[in-house]
Amino acid sequence: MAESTEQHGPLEQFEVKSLVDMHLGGLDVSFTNSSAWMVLAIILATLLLTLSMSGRAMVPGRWQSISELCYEFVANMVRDNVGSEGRKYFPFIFTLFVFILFSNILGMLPYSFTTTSHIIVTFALAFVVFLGVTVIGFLKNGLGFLKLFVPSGVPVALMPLLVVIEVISYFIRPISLSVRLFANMMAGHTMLKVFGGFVISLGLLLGWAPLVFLVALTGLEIGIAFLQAYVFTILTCLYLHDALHPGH
Amino acid sequence: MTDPNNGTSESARRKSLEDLDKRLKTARGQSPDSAHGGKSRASGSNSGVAVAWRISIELAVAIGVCAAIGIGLDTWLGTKPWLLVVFIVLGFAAGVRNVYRIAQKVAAEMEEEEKSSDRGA
Repeated sequence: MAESTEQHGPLEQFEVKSLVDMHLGGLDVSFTNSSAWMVLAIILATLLLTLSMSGRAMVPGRWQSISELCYEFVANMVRDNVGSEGRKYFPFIFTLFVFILFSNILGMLPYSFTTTSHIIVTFALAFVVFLGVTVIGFLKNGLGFLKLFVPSGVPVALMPLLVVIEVISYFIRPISLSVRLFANMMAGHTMLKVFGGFVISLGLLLGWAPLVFLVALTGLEIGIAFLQAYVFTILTCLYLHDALHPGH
Repeated sequence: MTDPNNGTSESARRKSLEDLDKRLKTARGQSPDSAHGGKSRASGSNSGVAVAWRISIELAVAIGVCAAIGIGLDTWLGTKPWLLVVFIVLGFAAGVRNVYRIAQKVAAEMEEEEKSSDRGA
């Protein structure tokens, strides 16, 4: 895809480079630039949330407002989509939201690495959600969880076909969840790089047109960074709701 | 959050928060009972874009994954191309089912929102 003859191909930014080589029983567990940016996202998120809340003022300042806004945003999302039983799972969902949001936003920095633009990262996140939701579903409802796969009020003749479709659509979830985030981040960042290349190659005379577009695109990408974190989280909430109430 | 009496029980804490919520709502000149029935601002941002992102990938992924399963099973069982055909149809159905489910939920939310805004006015 990327022309290797070119100095900076648009896909070069997605290259995973090993920073500290580590091997564990034949497995390559090196600390890569991807790991580094993930760690940075976690550190920054922790710092922002703890430092801004350290005042615990009744009337919040700017930084505390940011934290409270995040908290309330996710808390409302959980309450509206999962219900009051979802309160228990709020910490996980909040962590998920903040991690994805910070990874996406950090990816918007020049020279940074977007961890969420790799499908294995998003798939790992989605798979944890999928496994967790399935386990919760079975723990809470026992075998009644299987009711999720049996739509109510359909003729018996159609039942086997519909059950197969429901099962497939259930197992598609982690994949569509991960592909959505990964494809959006990857496509957006590739576009940014491609238009950045246009600016350079068209030079001073004509390069302004793609530059204007690039500015708009950057704004759009920041919007998408938020939107995709929101979409990932809200779908997690919906899946959790299904696990807690499999009847409908 | 900024709750001073951390040691008290969950229900008492909730009550005090609800009380605070009520006072805030009245201070803002809203009726207090529309607070919990109405949708919060967060889910109110269930904008068309967010829904579109959710739906669009759903269909494509369902078909793609099922096609991959079909091809895999075909090469494994030597039944080219029949399982591929079957699984693409199943994948399409599963994708439509997922899209339908999301659409249903969004429609229900919109209806509820309309109802609560009617009641509020």
